[in-house]
Amino acid sequence: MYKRAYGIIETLAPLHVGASAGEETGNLNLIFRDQFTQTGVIPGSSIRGRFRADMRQDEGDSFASRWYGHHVVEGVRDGGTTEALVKFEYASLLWLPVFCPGQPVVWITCPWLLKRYQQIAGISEPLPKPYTAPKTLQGRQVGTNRKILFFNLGFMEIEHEADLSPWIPAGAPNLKSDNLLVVADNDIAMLHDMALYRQSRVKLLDEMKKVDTDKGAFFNVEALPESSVMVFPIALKETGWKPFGDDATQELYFGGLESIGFGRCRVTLAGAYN
Amino acid sequence: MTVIPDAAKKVPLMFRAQTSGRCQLQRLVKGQEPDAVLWADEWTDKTYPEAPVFDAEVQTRSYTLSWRFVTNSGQDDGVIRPVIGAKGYPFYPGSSMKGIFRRACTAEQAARYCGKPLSGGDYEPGLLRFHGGYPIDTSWTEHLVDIVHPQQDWQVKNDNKNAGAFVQISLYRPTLQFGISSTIPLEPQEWETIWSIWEKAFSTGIGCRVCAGYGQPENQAGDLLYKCRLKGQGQAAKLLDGTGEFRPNVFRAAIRGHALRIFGGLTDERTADRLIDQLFGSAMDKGTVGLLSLNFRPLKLEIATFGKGSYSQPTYEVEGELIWHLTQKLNPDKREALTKLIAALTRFAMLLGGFGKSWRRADHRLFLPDYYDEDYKPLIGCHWQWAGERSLAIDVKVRKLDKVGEFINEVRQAAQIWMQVQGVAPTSDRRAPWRESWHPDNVQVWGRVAEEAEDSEAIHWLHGPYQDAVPSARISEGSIYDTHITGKVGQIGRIWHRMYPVVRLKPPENPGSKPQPVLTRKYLELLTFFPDDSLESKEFLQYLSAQADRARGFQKLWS
Repeated sequence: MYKRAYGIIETLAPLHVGASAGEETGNLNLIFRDQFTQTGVIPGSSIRGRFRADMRQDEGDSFASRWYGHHVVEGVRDGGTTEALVKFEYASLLWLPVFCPGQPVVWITCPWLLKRYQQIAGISEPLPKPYTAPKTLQGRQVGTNRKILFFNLGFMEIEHEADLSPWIPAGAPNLKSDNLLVVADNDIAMLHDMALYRQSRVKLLDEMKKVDTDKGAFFNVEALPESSVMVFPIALKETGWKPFGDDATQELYFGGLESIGFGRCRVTLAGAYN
Repeated sequence: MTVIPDAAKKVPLMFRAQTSGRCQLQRLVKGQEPDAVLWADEWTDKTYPEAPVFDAEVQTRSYTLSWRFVTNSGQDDGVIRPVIGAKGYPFYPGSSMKGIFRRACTAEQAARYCGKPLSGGDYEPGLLRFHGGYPIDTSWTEHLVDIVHPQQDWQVKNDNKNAGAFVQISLYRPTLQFGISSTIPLEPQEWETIWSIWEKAFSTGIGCRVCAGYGQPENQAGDLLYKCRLKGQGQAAKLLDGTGEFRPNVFRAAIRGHALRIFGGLTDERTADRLIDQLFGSAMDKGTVGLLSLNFRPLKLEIATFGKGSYSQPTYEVEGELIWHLTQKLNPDKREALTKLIAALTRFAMLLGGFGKSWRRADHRLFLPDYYDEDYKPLIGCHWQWAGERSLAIDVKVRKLDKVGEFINEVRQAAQIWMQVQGVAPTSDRRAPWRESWHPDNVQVWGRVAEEAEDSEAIHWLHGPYQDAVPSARISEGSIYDTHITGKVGQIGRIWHRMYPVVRLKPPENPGSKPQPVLTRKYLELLTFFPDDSLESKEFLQYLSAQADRARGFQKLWS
């Protein structure tokens, strides 16, 4: 049977895994989103590509082909491809930091996203209810004993208090256990939009620091913010897969715009990967 | 459903529409706390206290900026505010960093570090990743609200105030840490090359409004045109929270204004405006990048307060280097003409006026100390002088009264040479119809030697009659006090009063060495007057002419 493992990704810089051209709206380069929660994902193919490329660079093509499958060979029957020994699924969000003036940075998630993590990591803890936060979360006090946070969808009242630290994976050291919040599945898409990193970019003239108005190149890009935490499942047909040598953690780049500082992530492996 | 009393009023300003009654960041309303101040307070209140840290593999360097720094995020309509990253931290984007880095590269370097196009529309990525720049500590949360107050037309041309004060949000003297990493390991030597390219890119300033002194590094390495050292005292700009700030853009504003006056006396209005836009930049039409960019590097800076009660004003005492850079490539002829022009304009500003608030007046604290015997008096004037041996020797072009006229002609000459290399013929018969066009028909410069600071004569005319009535001799009182000649709050006068310190050159002690500049107690007391056809103007000119023959009276030096 397959060995079950998983990876935790903490973004150390904005992460932009672009949607296909057809999903772009206007001049905003959207990130690829999961169809249920409308939150950003890294497709399994992107994760596999990064692992494979790094192994090929460090240990050679044949080693990489063994683990990730042989590439097509011209003239060989069936293309000469082989099945990969290690398989990846897409990475979904687990915790997403939201900044709003006047309140601390709050990392949010929702039951749907937590459930996926619960299944991947084999967590026995029951799922927290929507609008749950730890007692130590700093919100705005309204009236007596009512704690409120503001988001782009309006004011949200914290309804339940619980210790959410069992839902913090190893490999997310930047996450603050006091600043966690579970929202409802229906809220997450809109809060995700508020949390996204958005940047307007323009093309300047080559010879002078002035907007290239003739070409009119003006575009926006969106990305998951730094300190987002994501999880992805890994299945292994064989043991002995050591993509990071003897370490469980390594920095990897995912997605686009690497040359302008996007995509830097810390990946931590867990489960029976070795 | 949660019911919150007055919920709409509790929404952070960052999430409110830019409209009246909701949030108007750029607008200042008298007697109200500006939205920009609240906005900035809300923003920084709970912003993550720790600056982002780059990974060990990322090479980093930190640089401090000499004054303010602004990058427009483009997020809000009608207001300039920084790019705000994750957890509320402001930063300089990697994309901007890559953009200026590429421009500082040779073609070969650009291809290796930043990528190059391949055939078939494909693109090969470069080696480097630009991670952007972040403030290294939380001091960026102070002094964020910045006021910009365009007043060129009002100062030079006519009495129309066509724009008020605007708010922008900028970081005050931040130290930023920048990160660059490579997709392949590089030798330390190559990293040195990379950082030297970055420093070259950085030296012309980062972010926007660099030509006005924003985003300039403390240590300059750009294409230097002219540099001088000066010191001054006067009224500091008041920020919205009442604190004082010395703002280096006063130099640029003053010198841009003088350039406009000089060109306005040499050619018609449209051509003068065009020449100025070319030198200093403009946001009109598709925008023009100016040839000149300014940096002021303060060596000493003290902010204090002066006056009591409602007259209390923040003040500055500053000494530093004023540096003009060239922002683009120019052929050697033009470059030489421009160097002479900017040096001439800077010296012109120093000779006849000052910089910043109340620049048309000599500092009353120095030249009319009695004025402050009563406590409740407004602070008037500013005082500037050259500093450092080099500037005292080279930039002081006027050491004697009779040199003033000659110097002004040299400034006009420098402007005409610049016009010629630009292919513009001077047409001084068609001068610009502005109040302060610098044309012999429109302005007169008068002067005398004051033996010491308190020997200023004209300063009294700003507060009383210049001539007492002598009924027996049928002489009526002459006064410009409290008229449109001297001006008042909200109306610019027609007279500049300047006490220019006399710097003597001591002959060298040994043959072959240079003469040494020596500061004296004397001043050239200079009056620049733009007469109109009012009775006050005529009488005042008559008075000046009549007393010109007296010992130590004002002489007409230029018109």
